[in-house]
Amino acid sequence: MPDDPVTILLVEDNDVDAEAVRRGLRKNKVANPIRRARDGVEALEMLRSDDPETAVSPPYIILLDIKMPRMDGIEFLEHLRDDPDLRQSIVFVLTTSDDERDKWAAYEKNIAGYILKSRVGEDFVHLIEMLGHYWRYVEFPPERRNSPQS
Amino acid sequence: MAASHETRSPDASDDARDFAERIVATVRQPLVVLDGDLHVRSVNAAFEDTFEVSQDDVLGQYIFTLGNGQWDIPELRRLLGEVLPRDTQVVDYEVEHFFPDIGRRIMWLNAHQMAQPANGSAFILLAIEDVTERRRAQRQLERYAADLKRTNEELDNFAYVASHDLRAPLRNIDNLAQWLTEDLGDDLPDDSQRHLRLLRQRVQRMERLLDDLLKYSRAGRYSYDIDTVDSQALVHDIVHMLDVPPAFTIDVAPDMPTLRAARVPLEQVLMNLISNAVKHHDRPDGRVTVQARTDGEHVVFEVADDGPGIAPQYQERIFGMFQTLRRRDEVEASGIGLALVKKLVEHVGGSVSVASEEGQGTTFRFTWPLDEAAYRAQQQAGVAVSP
Repeated sequence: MPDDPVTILLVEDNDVDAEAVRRGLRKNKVANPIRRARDGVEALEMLRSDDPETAVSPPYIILLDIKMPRMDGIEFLEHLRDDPDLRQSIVFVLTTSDDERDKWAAYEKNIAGYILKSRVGEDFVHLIEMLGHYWRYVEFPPERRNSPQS
Repeated sequence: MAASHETRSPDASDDARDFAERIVATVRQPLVVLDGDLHVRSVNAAFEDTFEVSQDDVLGQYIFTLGNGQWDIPELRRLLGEVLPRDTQVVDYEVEHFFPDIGRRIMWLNAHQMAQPANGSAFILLAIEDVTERRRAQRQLERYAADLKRTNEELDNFAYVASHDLRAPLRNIDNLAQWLTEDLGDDLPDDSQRHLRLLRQRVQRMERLLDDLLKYSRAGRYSYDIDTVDSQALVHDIVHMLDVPPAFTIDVAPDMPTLRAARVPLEQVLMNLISNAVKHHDRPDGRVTVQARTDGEHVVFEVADDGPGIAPQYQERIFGMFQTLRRRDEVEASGIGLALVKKLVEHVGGSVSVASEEGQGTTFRFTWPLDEAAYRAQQQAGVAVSP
């Protein structure tokens, strides 16, 4: 596994929620680069881009909101899992939706976890702490040339 | 009255005909007797009433020219001309037809072709059931059911919107207030710090209202699986989940029945009643007693406390939506808890009541089916029987 820092791709349409994630990271002294997409369309563009300025390249994890304009989180997951270059991506869903239908739909698309950000009065500090531990201990999908046929 | 122009045969067959004619006259459903050539031999009083004709106008007439040909209905022609000669019997054949005098009618036709005992010639007994009203009611019912289904779907969507779209800005407001507190901290005047605290409390109250409203709107519309539920273990679990003050005592009766029930709604009901008893108590060392006993097909649950009691004039009101007896700044409550209890209990055919006197504590009593599967089966059967 390369020593490149893990990039956090935050797919989130709500500016305050996006800032909450950044604050949480700062509070936890997590210095990993954060990239933000405002919906699924923008996230796919960043993941598929050849331009080093805009591209998000491995290793990365995706923090995905569900309800977004243009392309919501569930649709984004469908595109992601259909794309041979992107299907191994690690995705955490980070959403206010407590709806069972969303949870089913998201886990159908092999997400790493479904996290509710719905509780007022808590910020994302503990959540970010958990994610920080996650990428310290978890092996990421290997580089493309080593990857098994899927 | 049957026609009287046929040859009279003595005694026994006279009696038989008399008997048959009385049956025809008595039946409330319109009946016509036709001869083999489809001429009317007799009609009963119900026929006269329904189709607004008199016996004299129709006797001996050819069915299809009767009343200016208003009985010349293609389906009836097919029925009498083709089906009946082949099958000798027709059951519940539905015909919709516009009659000039009485309007559009939906009828069920039942017909029998028989041979006369006396001379072997054929005659036909035709019973006409006017199902217009029944059909109208049925169609109305179907429309209502469709409307109800659509309303429920809209409500589901509303619940989804409430859970996401209304919650997101609330959480953002809370975040922003929290960040102001964190970043400015002691630089803020005391009043402003207090205001920010109040702001966050109000946001939390709003969120609790949303949560409870959502629970209320969903109550009874999910069909949970039925499980074996040990009610005593369930109450112990609930008490464990609640934040009970250390000096408080919650007594759970040792002998509580085991039910066949959907766990989640029953748990919601007991949880609401027990947490209410704790929350609204006026002493930190209060006592709540939970017990249950089987009574026929039901289990009667009781949650009793030794708290301040509820004055009689408020005992009905507490089950209404958004009703609280104390200001929300004194006790944080959405006012939906007991409304939810009532809705959940009534959904399984149970009832809930309160007994209390001021200063004497309060007892909530509710019933739950001992076997919810049996209750559901009964309900379904009830639905299936009605048209």
